Amino acid sequence: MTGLSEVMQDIRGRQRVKPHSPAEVVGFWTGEDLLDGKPVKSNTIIFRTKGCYWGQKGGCTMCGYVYDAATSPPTYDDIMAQYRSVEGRIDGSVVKLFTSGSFFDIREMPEKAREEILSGLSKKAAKIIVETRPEFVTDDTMQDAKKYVERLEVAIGLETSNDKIRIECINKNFLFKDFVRASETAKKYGVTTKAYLLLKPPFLCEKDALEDMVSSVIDAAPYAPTISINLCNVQRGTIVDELFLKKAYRPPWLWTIVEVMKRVHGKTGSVIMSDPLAAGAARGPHNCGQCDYDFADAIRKYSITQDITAFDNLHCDCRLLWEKVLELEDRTFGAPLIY
Amino acid sequence: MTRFFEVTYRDGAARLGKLLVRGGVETPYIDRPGEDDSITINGGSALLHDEVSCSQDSFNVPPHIGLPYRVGEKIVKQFSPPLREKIEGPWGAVVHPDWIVDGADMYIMAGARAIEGDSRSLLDSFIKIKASAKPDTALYVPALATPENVSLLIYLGADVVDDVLVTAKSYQGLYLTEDGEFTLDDLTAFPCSCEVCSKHTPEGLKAMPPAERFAILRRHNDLRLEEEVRRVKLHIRRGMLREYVEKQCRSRPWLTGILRLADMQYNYLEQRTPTYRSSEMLACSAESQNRVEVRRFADRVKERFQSRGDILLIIPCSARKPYSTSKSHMAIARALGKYRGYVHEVILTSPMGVVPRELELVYPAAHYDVTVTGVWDLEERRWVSDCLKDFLHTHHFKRILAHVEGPYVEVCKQTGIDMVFTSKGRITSDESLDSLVEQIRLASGELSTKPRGTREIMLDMIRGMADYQFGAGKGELLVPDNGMVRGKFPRFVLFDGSEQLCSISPDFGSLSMTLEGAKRMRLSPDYVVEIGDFLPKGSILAPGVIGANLQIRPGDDVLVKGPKAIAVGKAKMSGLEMAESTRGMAVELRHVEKLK
Repeated sequence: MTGLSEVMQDIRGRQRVKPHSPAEVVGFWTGEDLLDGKPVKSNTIIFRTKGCYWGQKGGCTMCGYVYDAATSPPTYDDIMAQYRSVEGRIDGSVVKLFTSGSFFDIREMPEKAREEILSGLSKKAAKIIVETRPEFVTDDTMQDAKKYVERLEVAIGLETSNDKIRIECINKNFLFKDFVRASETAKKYGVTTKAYLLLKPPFLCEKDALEDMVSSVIDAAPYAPTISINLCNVQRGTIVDELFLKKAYRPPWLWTIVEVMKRVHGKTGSVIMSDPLAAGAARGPHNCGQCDYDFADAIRKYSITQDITAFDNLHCDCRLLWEKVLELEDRTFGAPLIY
Repeated sequence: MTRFFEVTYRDGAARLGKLLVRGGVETPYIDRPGEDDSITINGGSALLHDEVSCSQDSFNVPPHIGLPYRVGEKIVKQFSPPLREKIEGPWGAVVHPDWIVDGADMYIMAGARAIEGDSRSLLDSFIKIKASAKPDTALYVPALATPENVSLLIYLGADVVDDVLVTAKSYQGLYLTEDGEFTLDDLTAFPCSCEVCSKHTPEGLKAMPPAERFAILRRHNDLRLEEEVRRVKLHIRRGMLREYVEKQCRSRPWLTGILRLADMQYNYLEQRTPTYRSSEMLACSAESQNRVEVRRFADRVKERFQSRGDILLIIPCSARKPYSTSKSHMAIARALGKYRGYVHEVILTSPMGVVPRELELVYPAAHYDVTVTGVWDLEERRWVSDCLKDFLHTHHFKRILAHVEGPYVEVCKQTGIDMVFTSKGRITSDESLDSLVEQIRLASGELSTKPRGTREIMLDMIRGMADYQFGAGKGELLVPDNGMVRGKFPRFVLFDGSEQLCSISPDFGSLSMTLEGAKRMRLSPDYVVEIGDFLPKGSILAPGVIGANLQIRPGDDVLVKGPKAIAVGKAKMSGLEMAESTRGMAVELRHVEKLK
């Protein structure tokens, strides 16, 4: 645990959080995902739990999901009520189960609820993806989950393959080797791994962030058949937010994620995807304000097709500015060059 | 201390200097990080790199984490200040202003870009870094300079800036000038005649492919930045950067804010501002009234200057300096004739406040020029009136005669202190002057005032100047009762018998002491510079200084004491700088006496 946890706890302590009922899901939506190389319908359920245990200790510097936690810890009945409230709407081949924490942490998701939800869903969907920190990917949890689900994938927020960045910028509190161990454990039971990476954590300039992402994709690929790159956005009540408000942080350029995807395309056997959340907003990844939506569309298109020509028609004068940012941003010695 | 930078000339916090790499690089300097001749080697993020460059010919910036000033203390504390380790050559340290970093050759203000527009934070950053850095180290403010703001950055003490922000803005399609930035759509013609602007039109540029367009904009923007830095250097050499920034700060509210806040902060600029100099001082803006020279003069009149007598005569200032040489003051002097000896005179003026006649030759009383419209704004009235009130309260005159007209009348009345108004309309009219003489005759009769003779008046001038320059009471020590003043106004020279004690230097507006004069004032510990065991010649360099009084400012006359010699001369840097610097001229000597 680093001093960043204390800073995060301090920030979290100052937030005014809306009360949340333990029996209501945080969210449910339908989207598109890749299954065996083909775009299919997918559903995402975000369960409201007592929240990520690490987040409650301060947690990661960019994570504002902690504030979605239920006001009082949901019981088995609460969780099941959440599930029942969306069950009827599940119609995708892929279902993603998020808790804004770890699905396999029984403090968030009682064992019995986990088992019932997995067994219920396995009758509806071809593939189930659950989000978890690596410490909960154990022989026990994998063995247990496999009893109910044929095709299971664990999605782990690796963020970067660079331990120093993961610890000192993100405060993630686990190492690359922990991720590798989790992935290998999962594999033993026929469970695949999806790695979430984070483009542009705080305290890095654009160029360093770009290069970190390229090497992280290459490093993670052997352990993760799917890699999803999250473009860091500014969530309230986080260190990233505090830096953003002091003009000390700017979310990544969309040119950067496109560049990352171009550089790693064909270099790995993994599916590389990204959902450009909040693209074009000051708090989300953005370019110059003119071209942001075209970029977001192209990134989404690539994510579900893996077709590199998705980026062929992206042109904007701001490319030259972005190149200057790559070249010179480290020369601000700690601030974004262009906001 | 540093071996890699030397300050050669100062104007307030601004300075000219030399980076001692590559045979000497003149500052203020514009670094060009994108090009091969950049004087810095950036080691990059400490999260990714640990290799430390050790060039002898560049400033080595080891891997670091840079945090902008406004980032909260709790976050800043997560990272440690840089240390000099493994660095062989010149060290450029990236610092958060709250960090105390010892021993760097160049201090780099981390993430200064993030406080663009925030006057308070930028000023605080300068003040804090300068407080922790040795005075002879260089300060680099990265990625912030534009033609518009670079004069203020240098005014606050930046020695190195760069072309980073100018380059970035060029690639945003912006056309930069000292008075604003424009898109090409804003422009029908280029207001500049640089090599770029004389060859192109805004329309022509717009039609070009972006890479070419941005490169051309960059060339223009870069030329503007260079020109502005050259202009600033010129004004530093003239000792008139303040006048320039009072003007230039108008192009943006936050730049004006910097100037106003810096004036409010006072100490930062005061420590660095010369006490005496030969340049003109122009008071053309409201801020002029708050500049160090003006406030310091008022403070010293209040705290150091002593005048004893029965009758005080208040008269208005004149455009011509010294006032005595003006038509109006000569007319008054002629009219007073022998009655002049019965009064002590003070001159009311904006922005100087109250100038006792004895101090009319002192900088900047004899050096300023102010906008005169005949209308005084409320601030000016209050300032001058408060100065007068202070003066009247600290001195105990039995009768106060105000021979003033126009707005000066209001200023005198605003003090709420009893005085006799002697002018009937114009102060130089026969009627007014007769009335003045009559009032002096009456008052001196009633008070049985003893008049001062011409010699006494001249001795009082030197006493007053010595008090102002060295502290209350020093005039009494310096000027013997039988002292003789030789020379023609204003170049008076004071003698005790055949021994010269000092002379007035009207160019600088100060007294120049002889060794004997300095000794008689018993200056220790004020205005004393202690030096090592050597016999000085011509000048004292900073490394020769063992200790220097902290109230010494550039321009001050100082007594130099060492085991081998005592000497007198003019300080070329502040006492703090003398004590802490390892380079540069500390004192320019006038007289040296070898000790046996």
